[in-house]
Amino acid sequence: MTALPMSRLSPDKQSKMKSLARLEWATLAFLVSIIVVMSLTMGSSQAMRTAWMEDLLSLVPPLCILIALRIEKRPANPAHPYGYRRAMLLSFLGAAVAILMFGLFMLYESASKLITQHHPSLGAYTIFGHSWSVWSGWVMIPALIYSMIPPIILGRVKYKLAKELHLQALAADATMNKDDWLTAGAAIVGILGVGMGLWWADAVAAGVIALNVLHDGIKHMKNSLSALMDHRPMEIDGEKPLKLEERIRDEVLQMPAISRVRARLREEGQTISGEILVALVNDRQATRALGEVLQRAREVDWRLHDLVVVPVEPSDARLEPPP
Amino acid sequence: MLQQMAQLSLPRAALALLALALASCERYPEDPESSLERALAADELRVGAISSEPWVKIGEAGQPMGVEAALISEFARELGLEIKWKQGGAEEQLDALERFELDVVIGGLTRANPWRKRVGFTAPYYTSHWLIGVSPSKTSGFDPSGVTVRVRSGNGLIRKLEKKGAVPKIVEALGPMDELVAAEAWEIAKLGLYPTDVELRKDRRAMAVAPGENALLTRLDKFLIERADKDRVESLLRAAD
Repeated sequence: MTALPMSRLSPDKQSKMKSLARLEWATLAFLVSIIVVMSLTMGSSQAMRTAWMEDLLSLVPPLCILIALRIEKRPANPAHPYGYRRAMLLSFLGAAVAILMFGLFMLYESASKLITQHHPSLGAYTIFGHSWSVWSGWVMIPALIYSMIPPIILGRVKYKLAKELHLQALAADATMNKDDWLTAGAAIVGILGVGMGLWWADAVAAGVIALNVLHDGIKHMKNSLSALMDHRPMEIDGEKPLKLEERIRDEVLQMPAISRVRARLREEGQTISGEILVALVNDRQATRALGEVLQRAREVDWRLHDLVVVPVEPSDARLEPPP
Repeated sequence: MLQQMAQLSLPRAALALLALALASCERYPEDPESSLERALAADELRVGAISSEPWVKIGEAGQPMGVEAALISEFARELGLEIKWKQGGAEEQLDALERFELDVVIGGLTRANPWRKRVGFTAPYYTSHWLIGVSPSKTSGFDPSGVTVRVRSGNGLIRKLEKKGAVPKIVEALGPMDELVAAEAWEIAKLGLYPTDVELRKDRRAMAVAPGENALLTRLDKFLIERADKDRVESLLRAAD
């Protein structure tokens, strides 16, 4: 996830980072309550079972984020001179792959229920040997409505926060929560369909939920891979580059001491790091010039951190950006 | 784009279906294969009976009797249906049920039955507790290790008794002169003995219904919840012996 060190954030952003941890704890607490409620009501509905599994998987991203917030605070040491950033990015990738695999498994389960033409038997609601004279569908539906509400609310809040703090992993987590309207909605439609005599409605709903989980897994994976692959900085929800390289170049070229400049940036979650290659006009007061370059570059964006200014020969090929 | 379209239409679809469902609340849920409808139209309930005393016993005239036979007969009467009995082994009956050739199958089935995945099972209407029963003098702080306990064969309790350290003695029948037995709670009471707190096994009794036929299943469930409470079942059990 690679959060910026707190010292680099404005007080406003610092308090937002703190509320992030609180929100993720709240997410975990609500998810656990939802999982318990679902286990007590799911009976033999494939759709509810799939929704319950999706809720279990939703525990993974908040856990990853909370752990990341802890571990990334650890200072660099001789064994790890760059700190622990990659460890967290790899763990996110692992989580994404796990979610993807589960999505495939859930899809397989729903498909096989359809192929074997399994007719779900939903009778009176029964739990731990006690039964009530009410159709189990009427118990499942309120449980599903409850399962929708906290994730949608938390998802919306977290998504807004993700955009302000530019945390891709949080955006992916928030989207997984916001999508619970689809999970619960599909399960409700499936159960009502079964109630209307359409035996396949339950399995089809489960399939829809599984596809949604698959989609989430792929999204998380793309997000982790791009962070690991030293991607250039992009907008949080779009494909558009932020063009920070050009802005840094324009800023630095205003200095008379610099004849050529090229910025090479990579985005690692919240942090943007990289190199600024400069050709100095002459070697007089080189160190001070390089210092000024760094200062001007950093002011371009609040996320620019860990920049290194490298003086090179004016004829150096690296001053040309790749085509 | 698809996301946005779905985001608009899915909640509406859900609401529309919910409205439709609530409107036809009385008929909810429905049978995909119209089992209940067919039974009511033909005035006939097709019941498969698997011999399993005391739940189902085949009488001398070939007529199924026993606790579950009595219950299902009462259910059929309540709906104004005649029962068409079919007898046979467990596998063939449950197979026929899976293919919708029968409506209900009875025969001491429990919720632990692996057929649960292939056919419908009612909610458990009675829980059989298999315990060690003792004569009055020995109830408190009962320790089963080393004692000889009389048990009828074929109850699946022999291993359980051995695990608890008891010595099972297999007998044909349990009688009132026995002092130490392993049997169901109601039978222990009938023999005039007292139950210890050593529970050997728990069976949740249920009936099997054709898969996915939720109208019939829910109707039978409601009947069993109302009419087959613990006292009623135990009085049927005592009468059946």
